[in-house]
Amino acid sequence: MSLVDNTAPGSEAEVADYVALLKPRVMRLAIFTAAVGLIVAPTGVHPVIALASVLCIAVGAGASGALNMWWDADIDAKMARTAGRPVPSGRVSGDEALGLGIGLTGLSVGLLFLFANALAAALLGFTIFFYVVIYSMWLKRATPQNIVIGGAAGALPPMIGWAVATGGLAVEPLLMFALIFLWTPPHFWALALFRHDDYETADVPMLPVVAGTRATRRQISIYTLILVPVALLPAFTSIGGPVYLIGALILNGQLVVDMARIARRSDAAAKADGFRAEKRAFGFSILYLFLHFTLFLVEAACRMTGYTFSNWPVLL
Amino acid sequence: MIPIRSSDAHEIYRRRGKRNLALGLCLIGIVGLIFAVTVVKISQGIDMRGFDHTYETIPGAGR
Repeated sequence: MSLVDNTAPGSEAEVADYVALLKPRVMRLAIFTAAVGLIVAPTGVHPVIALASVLCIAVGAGASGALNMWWDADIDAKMARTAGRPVPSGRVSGDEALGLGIGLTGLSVGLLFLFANALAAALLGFTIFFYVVIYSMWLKRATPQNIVIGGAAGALPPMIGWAVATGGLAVEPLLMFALIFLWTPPHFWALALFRHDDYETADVPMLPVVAGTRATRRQISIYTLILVPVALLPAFTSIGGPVYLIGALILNGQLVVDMARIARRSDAAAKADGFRAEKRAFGFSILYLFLHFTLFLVEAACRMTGYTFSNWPVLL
Repeated sequence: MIPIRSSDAHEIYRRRGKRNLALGLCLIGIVGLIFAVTVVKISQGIDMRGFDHTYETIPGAGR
């Protein structure tokens, strides 16, 4: 008879490890954008149902985080940034992460179907499928365009929120989707410019690793130029208005300045000041997205309190 | 007979206790959530009848 000591301190996962498995930082973005999509939608939802639905979306995002960590444990172990995650560090087994991910997927999609409607539940299920199967399993290790297409998963939550409220879709949630979708490549490539050593050791084909930093800097500026008009367009829909337009003009002006600066720089100049402009652009891009969705909330508050321009041009 | 120390005193129970507590709170949370949504949906007048019961329970239906 052999005894396996599984009672030693340190071999067992703590609550914090399970929380880390759900990628709380990614979850936060999903919660915020989904809540904004739900709040700005024209039909109101009872606050309890809104809260329960956003919670389901958060749990669904957590489930895809756990499934991603189960699948990516081998490459996470090779990168300094991710080596301490619960699965590569051995505190949670891969099977456990898989089980938790599948369990929470079923729970979140099933409950969202009961709380809200079939469309919202189907969109949540599709988001998890897209993030885990299309992005993690298929694209991430296969193509330098991985994050461009994978960004769709991160862009879906506001559409789910809108679907919870209205039971349908419209041009406004599609524009919110497009905003996050087009924001993702410049955001992540700015990060990859000063973090690509990590991706190289893990054999992940990030754009700077495969095509070089020159091409990456050019791609950043191309995507920024496509992003700017898409970010301004919601001003002229039912969820926009003058406050959004003014805010978006300032934010997009700053984004163009920041991204143009890193697009023109050489690697030598970047190394000389420790990638200061790249880090700055990356940091600002987070604020950029957060503030755009905050502006949607401000516009919604203006509409609720009656501070609106009656002749504001709503084109879409 | 070997005297056995109370098993509750073993420190592993303390560590697992935390996990059990967290899991328990999650389960209570899910039950509470479903209950709250049920109360809201019923007070909003959602149709609670199964699809196979609507015919005979709606007065005047099928006439």
